This record gives sequence, structure tokens and C-alpha cells, in this order.
Amino acid sequence: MKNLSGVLILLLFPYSFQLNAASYPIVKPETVGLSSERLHRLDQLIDNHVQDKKIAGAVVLIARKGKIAYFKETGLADTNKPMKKDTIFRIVSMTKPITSTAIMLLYEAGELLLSDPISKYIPEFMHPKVLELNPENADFEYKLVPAKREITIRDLLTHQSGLLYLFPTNFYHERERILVAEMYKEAGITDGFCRPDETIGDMVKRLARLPLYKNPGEAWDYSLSIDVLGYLIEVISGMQFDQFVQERIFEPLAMKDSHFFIPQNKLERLAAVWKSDWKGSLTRVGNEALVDNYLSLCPSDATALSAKYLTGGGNVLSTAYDYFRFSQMLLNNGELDGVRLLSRKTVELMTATNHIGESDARFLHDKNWKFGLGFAIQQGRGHDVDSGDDGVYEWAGIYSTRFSVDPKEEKITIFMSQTTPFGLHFNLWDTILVLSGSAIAD
Amino acid sequence: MRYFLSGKPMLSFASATLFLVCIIATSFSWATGPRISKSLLSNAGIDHIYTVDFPPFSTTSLKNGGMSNEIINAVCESINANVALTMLPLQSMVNFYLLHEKSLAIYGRNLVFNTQQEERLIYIPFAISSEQYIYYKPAYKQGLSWDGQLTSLKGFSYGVNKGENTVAYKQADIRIEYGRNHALLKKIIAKEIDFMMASELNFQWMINKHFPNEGNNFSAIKNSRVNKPIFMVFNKDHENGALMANKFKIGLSKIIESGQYLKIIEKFILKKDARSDYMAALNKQLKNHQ
Repeated sequence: MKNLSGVLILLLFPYSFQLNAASYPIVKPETVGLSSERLHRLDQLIDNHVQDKKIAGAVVLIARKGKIAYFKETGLADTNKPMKKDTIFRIVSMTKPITSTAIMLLYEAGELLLSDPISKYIPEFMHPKVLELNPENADFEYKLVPAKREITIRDLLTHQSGLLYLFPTNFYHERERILVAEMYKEAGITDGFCRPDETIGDMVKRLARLPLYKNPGEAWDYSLSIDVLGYLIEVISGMQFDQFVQERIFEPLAMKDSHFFIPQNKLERLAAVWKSDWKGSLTRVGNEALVDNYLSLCPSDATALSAKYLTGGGNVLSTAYDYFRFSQMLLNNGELDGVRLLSRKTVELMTATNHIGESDARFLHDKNWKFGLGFAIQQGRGHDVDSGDDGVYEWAGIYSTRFSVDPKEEKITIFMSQTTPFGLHFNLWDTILVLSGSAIAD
Repeated sequence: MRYFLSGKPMLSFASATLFLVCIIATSFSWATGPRISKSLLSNAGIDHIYTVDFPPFSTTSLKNGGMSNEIINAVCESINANVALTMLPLQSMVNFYLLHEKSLAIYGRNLVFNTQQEERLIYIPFAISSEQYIYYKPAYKQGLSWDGQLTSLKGFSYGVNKGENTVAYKQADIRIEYGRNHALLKKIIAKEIDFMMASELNFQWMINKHFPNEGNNFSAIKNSRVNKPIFMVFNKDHENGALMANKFKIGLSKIIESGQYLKIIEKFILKKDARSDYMAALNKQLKNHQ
């Protein structure tokens, strides 16, 4: 009997299951080469930020070698509502890697080539023009010149299409950018963070006929490219974009809490968005739109049970656990729990191949971050991130949600909060990465 | 479905539904393959004529481009003219192509140019947009009326597309709110704007596509109807501008005489007496621009 007990203990030792509403499998960190003691430093870090009212709450998940080793919720999801492991977040631009995966499913099926001009599928993109400034004192401020070539699907995936987002115009003030952004606004083009009352197809077809900011392939600029991809997926697949992602990604990966529109019975799990000055002033955002010049955010859009507009750039609601499953699929070279979504070669093309040449993906970081197909890829040390190796890939969502995949260390780090403005959480995230990296004990 | 022209039902529900079904059925679905239109095939050796999206007159959502596009294509075919019609989302881009790229022509309504620019342009009316001031009935349960003068609408807010002439409204102390028609209709429904000038065909299109539950909540301000000409505007600064303008006039007469013009508008204006009013208005415009 003693022997049997001993055997049972030995068998069960690696698995310290924490029972909660969702029953997530969490292992002892030491079984995957992480230090429990060092991971617990994360507790203090997040607790302090909550106590100092920099954030209302957060969920942090660290996984290594395919197993979750740290999974902690802290603070509030909403007023009088504690954060939980299964709290649902607006992941906004963390939708983009999902959309990129979706288009690569069609690529693997031979339905398209990355070098295809998008006008092959959306003819409105034929004969693109680029806005160029005229010399000072000219009769008219700009001219529209034929683009050197058409936009390709690869250009969209790598944000080199020459399209724009409106909100970076808050930070970058080149005259051409402002002129194009103003045309976007006049034509009713939005970044999609406040859901327009039209279909994505209608928006894309208008966008296609506006001038580009740069020639395709010439510059990396974070843009509506992935929104166009979402519509492209509809055109090629014949399926509505959310339906495609649901059937081809969410269901196969058992991402049960990932949705474009939250089901009624999950509304209570949706976290509120909080406005923070990172100095102790923290206010819950209600139904109001948050407008700052070219940036418009409508957090309350997430409570809609349905709508016309589906953006590949930022519509998905998800949980830390679901995003772990998505990230683990990538880390597993395209497979999870026996379900293969992508081939290893495609995952390499997306996450381990720089597609932007000498350009840098300057948005989350200053320089030396390259870009794959949907992911920023760390390269060298000439940037402002302290930790991580070459080859780490990541992205972020505008309400301060982050994920990072470190293929060399087989490590996934996920941070989810719902805090605005976006620009204030960087030190916290960088510290989370440092702590998760310094917990490596093998 | 009540057609608000004169308070009388101009369209029976069945025929209006049929009209809408025809329009929507020929619309581009969100999940079909690419459509090819003449303007997209090639740039070489083709003169481009530009306009702004204005369904159902000019729109990529209809197979043949809409009523204006069908008329122009019919005229051009009759005179063997090789042109490409390009629809753009902004009037400012349309004007840019005309004034700075010296395109052959543009077409549309509510076109605003200064005296100097107008001297270089040849205007040919080729279609009519019947328009009225509309307002939102829930915002004005007693109705909204005027005495025929804009001054009687002093203090109200008026929605208009950017670039249109608003001098008279400002002089009448009417607050101007700019936007695309979709946005303006939204603002009227939200009671942020009081009234706007709406083309009857465009209004029906927009309501059915974007606000299907709101159609019965709009009404027209009585006695505000105008028949606005839709112009083809040829560019004297284009080498073929003047020549094409003359040919266009000839082609337009041809297709009106042959009945082809009427066949085109029959698809969009279902009621016979509305078509008669339309043709009378067009003939009046053609006489005025001889």
C-alpha cells in the first residue's frame, strides 16, 4: 500500500493542479526549468502596480516547454468585480497575429501566393497612386503619382503596403502623412477602434481608392493593412471573416473564450477598460468614446452581441489562457494537442524570417526589431528591451495587452490588462519579461 | 413604402420592394469574387473621367456602375469614345484630377469651382437628381416647415458634403455640419443635425442599405423639391476636351431620341410620371445649356 501511494505521489508530483472555475493545468515551475521563487517576484510587481492604482488589475501567464508554470490574476476586472483567470479582454491588435495566421491557412491550401497583388482579389486596389508633396509655392500642395508597383499580400502582412493607420498621426507629423490621414477622415475611413456602421468590404473599397502614403515595399508603417487582410480572407474563402476564424482557428485550437462578438452569457466576464495616468489616478471608462485627435477608442463596442464591421486588425475578445493556446501552437511549429494548423515551414516564415529588410518595425520599440508575417521579431541589442534573445517575437493590443514568444527558451509570456493610454505600460511589460527571463533556472 | 415627393404615395410597396430587390441583388456581396470594370483593365490609351461615389447614380456596388455610369457608357458607345469611368471616395480627389491632372472630364452634381476655373470648363447636363430637404420625424413631431426662404430655418443645423456651396445657409444663420451622406443620416437620426438636402434615389439607397428600420421616420420639408442637374464637365485644358464635349452632346441626343436613355432610367425610376417629370427637367436643363 505504501509502495502504491509512493508511486501515485511520484506520478502526480509534476502536476500541481489548481482547481478553479476553468480548471487550468498548471505545473510546478521547477518541472519546466523555472524557479517558483523567482516567478513569485511577479506577484509583488503586479500587486504594487494595483496598489499604486497604476492598473486596476491584470492576468499574467508564463508557460515553458508547453506547460503553464505561472498563471495569476490580480486586482479588479471591473468595479467590485475581481480579476479572474478567465476574465475576457479586448485584445485589439493582438487580433493581428490571428488574422495573419488565417491568411496563411489559405496560403498553405494553395489559394493565394504572398506575391499576389491584392488587386487580383480586390480590383479597387488596381493602379494605386502615391501622394507626393509639390515644391513650396506650387499651385497645389501635392500630386498623385502612380505607385512603382501594386500592393501585394506580403506587403499587407508586413505593414509595408503604403496604407496608414490614423492614430500614429498623433506622433508623426510629416505633411504627406497628415494630408493622407485627412483624406482618410473625409472619406469616413477609421482605425476601427470605434466600430463603424458598415461592412469591412465597404470601407476597404473606399480605402483602396485613396492615395498611398508611401510606395508599397518601401517603408514599414503600422497600418490598416491587416484590416484589408480580413476582407481579403472573406473574398478568397467565401466566408464571413469571423466565421472563418471561428471554424479554422478558434475551434481547432479549443480557444473557447475567443470571440468577435461576446456571447450574452459571457458578458459578465468582460473586463472594463480603465484610464490611468500611471500616478494613482485610475478611472473606469464607461460608454463614452475616448478621443485624442486622430485616436478614437470605444471600449463599449466590445459589449455588442453582433455588428456589421469585422476588423482583422482588432476585433477579437479573448483570455490569457486562449492566447496561450494560440501562442503555443506557434511555438510548437503549427500544432497543438494533435491538431496541426500550419506547417513548421510556414511558422518559420511568419515568426522567424525578417521580411522588411533594412527597415525596422518602429512602433513598439525604437529600432532593431524586425517584422515577420504578423509579428515583430527581436534582433540584436540596439533597442530598448533589456531581456530576450534574438528571435523572440511578439505583439500588443492598445488596451495594454502583450504577448511574447521566446523560441530559444520555449517560453511564452502573456500580460493582460485593460488600461489606457497604451504608452504608459512599457516599463511594466519590460519588467515582466525580465522577471520571466530571470526565472529560467536550467 | 411612402415616397415623400408630394405627400402622395409615389411608389407602391410591392414595386418599391421590387426596385430595392433588383438594386440589392445586383449589389456586390461581401464574399464574392472580383468584379472587373472598364476603368480597371488598363491605363494605356484611355481617357479617364472621374466622379465621386453616389449610389445609385455612380457606385461600384452595381454591376454597370449605376444610372449615371450607364448613361455615360451608352453615350460613349454611340460616339465610339474610349473612356474609363473612375469612382473615387472624395470630391476633392475628383476635382484634383480635373484641375491639376487635367483629366478629360468629371461628372457629378453640386460641383463648385471659382470663376477662373469655370472658364476652362464645359458643362453638359446629362441627368437629373430630384432632391428635397429631409428631416427626422421623431425630432420634429409637429413637422419641420419653411416659407421657401432659408431665413425661415435660421438657427437650425444643416448637414452637407464637404466642398458644397454653403454661402446661402451661412447667410441665413444656419449652422453647417459637414460629412458624408452616411454620417449625416446617422447624425440626423441621432438628432444632432436638423435637416439635409437628399437626392431621393440616393436617400432610398442609403436608408435601405444602412438604416432599414428608419425609412418611415423621415419626411420631406414641403415645397423644397429641386431638380438638380448632374453635369458632365469637360476640361478645355485637355487636348480632346472641347471635341469630346461636342461629341458627348451629339451622343446624348442620339440615345434620348432612340429611347435608350429612357430604358436606362426605367430601371431606377419605376413610376411613369416620375420619369416624365425627370425627362421634362432634363430637357429644360439641356435647353438652358445650349
